[in-house]
Amino acid sequence: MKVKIELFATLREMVGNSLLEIENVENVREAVEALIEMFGARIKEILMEGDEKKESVKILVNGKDIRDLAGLETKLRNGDCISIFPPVAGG
Amino acid sequence: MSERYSRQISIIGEEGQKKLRNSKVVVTGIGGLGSVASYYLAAAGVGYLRIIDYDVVEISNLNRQILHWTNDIGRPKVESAAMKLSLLNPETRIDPINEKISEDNVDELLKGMDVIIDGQDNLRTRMIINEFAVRSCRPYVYGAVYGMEGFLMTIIPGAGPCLRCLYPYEPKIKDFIPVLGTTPGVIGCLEATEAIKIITGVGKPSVGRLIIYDGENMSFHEVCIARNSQCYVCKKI
Ligand SMILES: [Zn+2]
Repeated sequence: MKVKIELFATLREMVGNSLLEIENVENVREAVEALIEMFGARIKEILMEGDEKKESVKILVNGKDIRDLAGLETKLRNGDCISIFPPVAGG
Repeated sequence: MSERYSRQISIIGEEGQKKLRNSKVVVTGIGGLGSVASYYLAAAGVGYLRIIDYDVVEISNLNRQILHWTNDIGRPKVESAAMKLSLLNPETRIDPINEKISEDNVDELLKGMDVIIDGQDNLRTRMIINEFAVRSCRPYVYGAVYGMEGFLMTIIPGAGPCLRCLYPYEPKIKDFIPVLGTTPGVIGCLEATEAIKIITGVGKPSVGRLIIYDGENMSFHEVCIARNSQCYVCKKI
């Protein structure tokens, strides 16, 4: 099973890539953990507060906010697209 | 109606043009986003355009803030912008206000406006403006940029989510935000489009739809944003 992760703003800059593909993850939490494993502590600092997602960071699955789904426990299916972005404030 | 608007009247009608002439729009910040948005709003024939900023023009602004030119360096941005906008369209009344928007003056600065356009460079002031928009039930067009990415969502209080529904918490954001000049060009232009649509009643504004412009991959995404039933700013309306 494969899912896509799409990153925006500071996250994209940090990872150096706008689109990643990861395999064998069951839910959003596992996908985020995979991302942290690949890119380390700095990305964790942006995304997580202890075991929970930082409230300022938006995570969407196929365009739907995980807040309105099952949060980090939202189940993933083959081909799902996860979009992650921090608030964007430049002008 | 003036020949100036002949190319757009077939889209918005004489009636729509009249609505623009009778409309009042405020552009909150006259940097990268605000330069472009205010330019197109004046060009479209908005009758009254208030522009608010408290900065002076710096040389590092010039890659994107197209209303300010090299000979404006050191000048207040509202003064530099007002000069060009009134030369562009003498039929638009430009009202430049050299002030910083805060909780204390937001009511006074934004009241009576038909549409509020985002031209800010920080989330904190945006949230002050968002709260004003919700409590006075005025449309507020959110636009923001980072690098080659731009974000846009139109807030019509009561009809869709507000900015606080979108971003329940403000993180600390670093001061230096990289921006390719064309990015606020794209988003400022979309903001003006939304304002013209709201005023004339033409088309469908992006209420509850966050538009993400990705200049690096040259694509647009649309993300559905629901109202947050817990939102302390807009849950009561
Ligand atoms: Zn809200």
